[in-house]
Amino acid sequence: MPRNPSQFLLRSTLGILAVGGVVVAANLDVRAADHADSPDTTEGNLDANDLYVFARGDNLVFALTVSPLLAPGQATADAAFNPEGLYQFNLDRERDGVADAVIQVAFLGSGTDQMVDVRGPVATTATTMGVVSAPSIRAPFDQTVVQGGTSIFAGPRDDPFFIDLFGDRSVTSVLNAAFGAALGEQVGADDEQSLEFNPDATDDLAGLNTLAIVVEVPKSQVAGALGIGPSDAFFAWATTGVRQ
Amino acid sequence: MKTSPLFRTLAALATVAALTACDDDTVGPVAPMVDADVMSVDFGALDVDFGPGMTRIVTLTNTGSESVMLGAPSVSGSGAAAFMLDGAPGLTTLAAGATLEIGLIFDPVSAGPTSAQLDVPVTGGDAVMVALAGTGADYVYRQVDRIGIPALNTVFNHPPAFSKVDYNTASPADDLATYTGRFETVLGAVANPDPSGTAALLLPDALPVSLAGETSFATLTGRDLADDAVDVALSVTVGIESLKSDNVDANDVAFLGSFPYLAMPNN
Repeated sequence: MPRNPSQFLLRSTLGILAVGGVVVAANLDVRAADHADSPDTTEGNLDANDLYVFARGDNLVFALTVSPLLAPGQATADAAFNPEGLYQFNLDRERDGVADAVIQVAFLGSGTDQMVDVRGPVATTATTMGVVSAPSIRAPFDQTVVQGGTSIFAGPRDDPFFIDLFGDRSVTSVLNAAFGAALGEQVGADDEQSLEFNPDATDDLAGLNTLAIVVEVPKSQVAGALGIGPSDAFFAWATTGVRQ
Repeated sequence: MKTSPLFRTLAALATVAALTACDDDTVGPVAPMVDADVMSVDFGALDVDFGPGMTRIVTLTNTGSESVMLGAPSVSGSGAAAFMLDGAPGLTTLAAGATLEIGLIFDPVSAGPTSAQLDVPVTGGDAVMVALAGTGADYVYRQVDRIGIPALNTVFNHPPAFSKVDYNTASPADDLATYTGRFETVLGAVANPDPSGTAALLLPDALPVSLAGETSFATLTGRDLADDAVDVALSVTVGIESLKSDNVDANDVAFLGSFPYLAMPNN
């Protein structure tokens, strides 16, 4: 449950298509949209923003952004990943919602002295979330390390997500209005009456940073771990977890 | 008279002890003094599957007035296999007042507490000994958040009736059973022409990725950085003609042509 009514209101207002991004306004507690969808954690670095999976030549790149709405400077000064967290790319062969292979990302230490450990892609049949025993590649915070065809990076970046998130006729407020009218659900405090987006909209995440985990691996490794053909499809989602 | 090997060993030890005691009582060369900055190092807990932990530094200082010869550091004791020297120095001459840093790494091989000892021989003096301790752990994690297809949770789940936390902590394996009805309702509310077909496209909440050729969110073969995820999501879900684009079509700064592809942070 949200800790206080204003937080609840703010986050609800944000909630919409914000795959990424979100609000800022005057309230420092505000977090990005899909971002702001983790009201059970005060740890922004476990709040997942966006998942990207894209091809570059014969490689596949997995990127996960967490810690939405980092102000410039903050990203390098005190933002870091959760050393008790486990960040995971889940790869699913049959689209049954059960991961058949994982890429795991975990951190040692705190602050910007952190080291990141990346393992996988590796097949798994685990039913609980835990570090798999597989070889890992290690990199210092905010530095790229390339090893055996795999590249890894974890550190602050410009938030790659772009959206009209705030203000009059933003995605958030207009869609809230649509839902509100049709479902009878009061979604946001500033729901619009007009069902048209702002024609002069700009990227409201411009100038803001996020924490990013980027892992590039050969497609053949993904296919191998999943046991699928070199031109097959699979399904991916990312999770954040914390020690129980 | 014959003596047993054990007796000879004990006798030798007694002699050494006597000589040592004698040294203490007489004026002679001052024994070298080398001190460690800590008596012990507790590495805390580390998952046994994690691999080596962070390097911890023990600093030795020659507190005497003359230079000292140090032997190669070593780790011994019951848990020695879990502790490694990080780039250990060999024989080292330490000038008066000088310091030597010794890096140690904990890499537990089994669950539970373990301990060992760092020894650094000091020629002509007492070896430096530092106790080492750590605990092998086997952590289980609980899911805090998840993200597959952009924005589904934010679009479709509106508390209090539909909790965002429940969605975040759920397994995609349960999505069809839990969320199909909700998704169809919301899709109908925004004039989606085929709520059940679209819900089936979106659930379970996992991003389709193709290993063949190009990847794009628009063709549901992945999601690239420059893909306009908002517009694609709107076009897939919302049937209202005026709500097909949020009029923001690109990131404010260019993405990189090489790894890690995401642009540098804003200063």
